[in-house]
Amino acid sequence: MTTTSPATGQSPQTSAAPSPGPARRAGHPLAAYAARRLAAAVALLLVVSLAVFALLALAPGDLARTLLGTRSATPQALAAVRSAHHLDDPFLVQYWHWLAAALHGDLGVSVRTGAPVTQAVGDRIGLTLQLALGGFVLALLAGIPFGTLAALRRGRATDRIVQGLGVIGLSAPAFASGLLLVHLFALRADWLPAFGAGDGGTLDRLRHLVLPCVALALSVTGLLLKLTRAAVLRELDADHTAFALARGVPPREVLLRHVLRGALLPIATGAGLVLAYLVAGTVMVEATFALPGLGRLLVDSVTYKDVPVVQAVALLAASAVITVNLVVDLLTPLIDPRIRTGGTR
Amino acid sequence: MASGTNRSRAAAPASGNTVTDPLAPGAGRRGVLGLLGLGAAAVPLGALLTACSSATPADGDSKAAGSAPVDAGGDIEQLTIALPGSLSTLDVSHEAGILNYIAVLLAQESLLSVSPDGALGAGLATSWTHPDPLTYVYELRQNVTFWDGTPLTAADVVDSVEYHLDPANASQLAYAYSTVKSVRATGPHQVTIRLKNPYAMFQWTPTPSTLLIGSKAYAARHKGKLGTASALLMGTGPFRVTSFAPDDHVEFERNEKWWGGHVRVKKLRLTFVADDNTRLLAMRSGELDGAVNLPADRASQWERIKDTEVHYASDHSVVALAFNTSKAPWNDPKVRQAVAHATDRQGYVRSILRGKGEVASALVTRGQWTGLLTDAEVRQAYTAVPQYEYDIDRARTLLASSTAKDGFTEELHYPASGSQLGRAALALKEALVPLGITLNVKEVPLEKWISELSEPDRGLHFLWYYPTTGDPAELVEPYLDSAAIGSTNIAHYRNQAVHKDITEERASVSPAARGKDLADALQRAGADLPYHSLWWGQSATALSSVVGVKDFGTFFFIGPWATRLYPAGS
Repeated sequence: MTTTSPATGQSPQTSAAPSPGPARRAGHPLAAYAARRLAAAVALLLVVSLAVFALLALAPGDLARTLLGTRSATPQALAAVRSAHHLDDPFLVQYWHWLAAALHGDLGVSVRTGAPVTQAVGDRIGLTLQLALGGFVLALLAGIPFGTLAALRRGRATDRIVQGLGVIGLSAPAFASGLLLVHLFALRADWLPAFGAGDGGTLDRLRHLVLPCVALALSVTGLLLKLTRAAVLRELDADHTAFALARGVPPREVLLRHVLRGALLPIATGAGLVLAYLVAGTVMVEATFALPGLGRLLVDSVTYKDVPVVQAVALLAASAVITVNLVVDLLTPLIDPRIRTGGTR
Repeated sequence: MASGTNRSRAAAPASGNTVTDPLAPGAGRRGVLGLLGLGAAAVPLGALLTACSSATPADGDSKAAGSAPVDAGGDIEQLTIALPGSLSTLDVSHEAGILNYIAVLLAQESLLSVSPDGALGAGLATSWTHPDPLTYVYELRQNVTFWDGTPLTAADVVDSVEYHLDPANASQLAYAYSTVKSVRATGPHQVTIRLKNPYAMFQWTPTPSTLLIGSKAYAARHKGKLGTASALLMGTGPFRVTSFAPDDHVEFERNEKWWGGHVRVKKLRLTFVADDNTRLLAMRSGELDGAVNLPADRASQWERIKDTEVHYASDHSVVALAFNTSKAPWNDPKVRQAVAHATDRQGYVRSILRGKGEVASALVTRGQWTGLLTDAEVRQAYTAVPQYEYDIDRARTLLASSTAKDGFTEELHYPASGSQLGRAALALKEALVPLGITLNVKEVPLEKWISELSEPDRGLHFLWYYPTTGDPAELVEPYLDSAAIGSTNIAHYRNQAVHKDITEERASVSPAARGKDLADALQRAGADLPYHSLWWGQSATALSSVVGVKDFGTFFFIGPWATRLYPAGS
């Protein structure tokens, strides 16, 4: 999804230290670059919002009936729903009404619960973000060091073991690893709670989130590990690494300043994708640990044809992906100076 | 103990393509997604008792353990009990599933109550009279207050009844009020309801499953929002709702001013745990004090948990296949009979329910006729209901002579909380393969399944119903009367003679005559086979052994059940 990544895969021909000269001049092209990315993100968001709104029109069956949910479809109730949702207007007019309301923070009312959609989403977004960020940090802490280790020990037993464990983590569905974790740490050891989000303070919430975050992290650590390994290997094989070593630069410095620095861009891009995936992909873990998060809300809402909520969550998930990509895009020139100066080269 | 009951029809068919058995150890992703849905009760298994011969009424209550534990005195500070699924709303007029009642009946009360063994009793009304066939007069209990301290008045009762009468509110319970002409406060503590025509079952309408009394002022302040997480509810019950979060929990605190006396449980948290494995592990780890509506095929695992007791009760619930008789191929009686002959009901009860249930020879259990027919009359009536035994050859012959002799494809959906229904559906699917019938079985969340029951285009449903009254008309009227097509009659069953039986029964004042009319309707419907009854169930509830329970019976959950819990000593 990152649209910019010129030269990502190729190693720099010189050692990576940015030359001081262009840094000052980079302000302008950098701003233009950021503005372009921002504009693209907003445009994409608009397109997504149209698609999301179209979900309503595409929902099978009589719309008014769908929006009534489990309430009895009396003629009065149907008429009320029709007028509330402007169902008799043309599609684009309906979209305009919806967009205008959405921009004012009104995403309608949940068919299933009767509560405002913003409230339903607001109640859950915090938990899902905590879960996703916790899982993400754990995955980074495990994936990058072990991926680097595997690359450095390429082809040796350590490499195979690390990769093997990564594949196991990647292949174990979150509900299976989650139940195993509960069995080990909640039931056998009695260290951590088995389910729920806790209703106490920060510490209680933290205790409740440890196992879900680990379960979530397990499912993506393997991905980050593979990504890191591949990126580090590429840098290790690059000429500049060989030259640095030949020049007598200490191996530790070569690793930090040459190899890891060069590998950072692909890792950051991949990590961004992983984070976006995690925000939208917590459903399994939420189900296993009985956590009231966005993932379950989305799945339940799809099942109940709770269209207003589906629209809101889909819009939110799309925004999350777009935002993460935007951030990665904006970070890219900071990581790789060639992109910063790319416009003038 | 426990069984849940409620009037919500619960049935759960679903069809679909993917078959998932959520209980299988290697359940796939679909299974897990399915488990997200709610679940509701299930037929319990386990206990020793039941499953007796078919001559035994299905309503005996049973307990897995012997005598009730000693009362240790004092109060229970906090209880956490897990439901197998979430509630969408606390407003039962918009979601009338058994789990909704288990929660809401702790907080709100009705004019009359149903005792754990099914008798009509006083509630917020201390007495009631029925001076003529069209009039019901209720004398309200005095000095009852809502949680906010405002006194209960006749106006609150009138407002609560009128809510269901107004079509704009789209109440799911409106069917119970179809004959109501007017409701008036005829005194500061007296409410009079007049009917358009005589309706015998109406005596059960002001009971918890169809009428809950709320505060008129509170309802006006929170119009359109009652039952949501922000507005909650206002009631007079033994517990006050303090918080509700769909997909997470609903929490209660005891109402110190409850008219019914001292309640032993101070705080109660009903937590929603959709994944059955998680729920079992949470109980094992000691994070739960109990769980209701245990799935039938897993109750034995619950029995093995340390310091936990599983209580069983027959709950009069019925599971049946509902054929849409207005739609091909189900409009051909031979097709319905063929499928009925392909169901191995004895096998389902034996291997799926592990004996915790009984083959159902009709929608209504034999135990539900008290007051209408004698035991001998019930036996005689049930002998006359045609039965369709498991006989694949007969099924094949019937199908070959039907309009669907080349077979067909159909969908059957079951609710996530009814894994036993899913297993029966899969068994049926296998049995139908040699007949050329492809049955796609799919699991759906409970609320979803409930809402699908009203979709007119579906050919096949599960009917899964928990009665909430001690009257057989509760099932016969909504499911067999042609007047209920388009609402509760999900088989779209139309038979003039049955309609006449029911019309007479509704207007009759003689219990014996009503009993005869209802039995006639059941027999006629048995011959037409709009529904093929599979089994009558039991429900199972797990409680920590430090929690004692009184009066655990068929209708235990159709009332303020948590007031019957107490700290148990050894």
